[in-house]
Amino acid sequence: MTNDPSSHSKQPLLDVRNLRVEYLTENGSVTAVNGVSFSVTKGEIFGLAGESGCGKSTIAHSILRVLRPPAVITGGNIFYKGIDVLDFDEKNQSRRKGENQPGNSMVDLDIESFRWAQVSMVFQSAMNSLNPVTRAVDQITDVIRKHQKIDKKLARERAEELMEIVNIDKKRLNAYPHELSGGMRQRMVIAMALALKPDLMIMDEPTTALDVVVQKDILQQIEKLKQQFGFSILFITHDLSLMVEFSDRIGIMYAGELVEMAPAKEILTRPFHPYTMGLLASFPSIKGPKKKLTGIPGSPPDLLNPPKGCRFHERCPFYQGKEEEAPAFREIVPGHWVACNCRDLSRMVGAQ
Amino acid sequence: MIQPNPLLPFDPSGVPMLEARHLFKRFPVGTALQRHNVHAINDVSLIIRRGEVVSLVGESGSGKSTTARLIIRLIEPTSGEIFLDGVDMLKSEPHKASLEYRRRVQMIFQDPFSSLSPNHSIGYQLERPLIVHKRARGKEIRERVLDLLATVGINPPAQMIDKYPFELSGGQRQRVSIARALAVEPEIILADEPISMLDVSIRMGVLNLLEGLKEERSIGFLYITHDLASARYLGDRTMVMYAGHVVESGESIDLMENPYHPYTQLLLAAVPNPESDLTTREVQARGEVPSLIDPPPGCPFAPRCPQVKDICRQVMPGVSTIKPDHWVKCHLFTPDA
Repeated sequence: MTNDPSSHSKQPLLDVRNLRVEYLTENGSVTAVNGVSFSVTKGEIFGLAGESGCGKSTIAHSILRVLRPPAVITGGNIFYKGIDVLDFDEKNQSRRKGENQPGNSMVDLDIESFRWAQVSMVFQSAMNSLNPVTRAVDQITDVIRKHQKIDKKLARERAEELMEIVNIDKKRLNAYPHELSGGMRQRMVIAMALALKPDLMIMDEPTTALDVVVQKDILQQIEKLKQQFGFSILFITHDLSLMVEFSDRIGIMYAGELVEMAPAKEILTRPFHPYTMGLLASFPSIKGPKKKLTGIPGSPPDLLNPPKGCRFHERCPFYQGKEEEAPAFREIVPGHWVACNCRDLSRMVGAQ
Repeated sequence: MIQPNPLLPFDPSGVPMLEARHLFKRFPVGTALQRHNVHAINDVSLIIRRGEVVSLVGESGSGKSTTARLIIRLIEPTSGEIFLDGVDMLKSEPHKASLEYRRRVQMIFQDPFSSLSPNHSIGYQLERPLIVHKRARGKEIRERVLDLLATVGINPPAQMIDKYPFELSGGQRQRVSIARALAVEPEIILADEPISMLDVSIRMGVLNLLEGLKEERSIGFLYITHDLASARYLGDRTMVMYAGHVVESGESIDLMENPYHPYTQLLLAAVPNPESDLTTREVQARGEVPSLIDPPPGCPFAPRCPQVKDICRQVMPGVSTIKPDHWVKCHLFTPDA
């Protein structure tokens, strides 16, 4: 067993190591992401789950290098195909020589060709990520023509193809965003994310604003597209039931830290971290007898003054009142990582 | 099989506390030359008994919140009747609901960040209903406020009184909103998506609080949500809305185990199910909710329905009773169709 939670496989597509992001506020610095490591392999759907404010979106923005002050990346690396994304120099649009790159990089990249062409993103609110005064077709062709030297006509043909892929009538290409329904807008955002055939798509709560029927339809379509084009997905949501259904592996975040990481079904059937167990006890089922669910007592901590030691201890039913040290994130069975000092590990391993 | 009076749910307990019959609401839109009507609520009837939670589920825009606003009389129905303890309220108080009606029927809103006044302390916001409705005076007021805060699980309550909403977490704010509704000792609370803006881990705490109030104080709840699982968790009965119509109603567990209406079946199939893979069940009825502006006759679900028949596009189906306390509006279950 290794001590590196990001080394899930030999050559991951995305490899986040010990990432640390701080928000520098007037009242002090808030560590929004505190030493998070995980990786996403080719063709995989990796889910990041957690409550609002736990750092999920901050990680997504860090990967694309679109964090804005007061947020600052203060530590760690984000390797994409072996290149450290954090070495990209925004101003010169070229890559500085990174010193801590593992081996030789597979591709030559700068930030322009990295963003969108390699890694694209689908945001939560389609209405806010589309330009309200530009027709659908122009928004899609803009993306294509920014990155590829093709003429307008060809770009339009490509836009039509994309609309077909995401199941929108291509006649709607001339529509403005407000003329499209919520589901269609979200499909359009997905079409734009697919425009340059990226290898990784980051989806930040892509269906949270949609109704369940539309949500299911869109996710099934994404799944099909993924099989067709072979991209990987970093999927972010607070809805654990949805996440277990959709993802291959899941990382559970709490107060800026990764507390558990395991294959999706294992999170459901053998959760180990008390927070994961509490989250699972926060979603009632639509089948079987009614069970009283308790959720988790208390509320998420103030990150300006995070609790000492384990950040979850104030709400933890297993906490004995001793631990002062923050628990290490370790692999308890192959592929299953947990940061917890309080629960007896042998129980978990013995259950195998 | 058809109930003679499509008034609906079977009620063994005699006069229900609150009953709405055949509510319709039209909103006019367009210009003077081109008048159109949004058919927001179409023939909605429901009853709420003492100590019962009725869940109202549906997609956004299906008329759930409009139904609540009609019942609490923030807006007036185009036609229909609302009975409270057997009294026709729209007839006895035609212009505006009385203070007494407002006391008996209270509401909790979705967004606890905007439903509390940012300029006043929590103590002040809880005193106001007590004073306006003359529920307490003098020194009693403070005691009652502390009492209310303790009831909704805020501990210690004395520290909360001088705080302002911005100092509170989302869960605390929603608890204060619940306390404010409870201040006037209501008999019915309409809760409009009370947990959807809250963090996942604290949602169950708020739902359990509502359930406790139902049991301890025999308050009747209308629980409005888009989440079927929580509708089932909290609701004794569940009603499913689509495009302003209630299309199916039944005892919650029964309704979700034996859904009859194709729309209910579609909704249930779309609920994320961690135990299955996404690909196991394809969504059967693509498409979206139809426009509510001057809709065509017939069932609103007909354009999407996998089992649509000719009659569905012409006539809106009436109520078919499947069993006591479970009915559906669908031509598949009308005997003559």
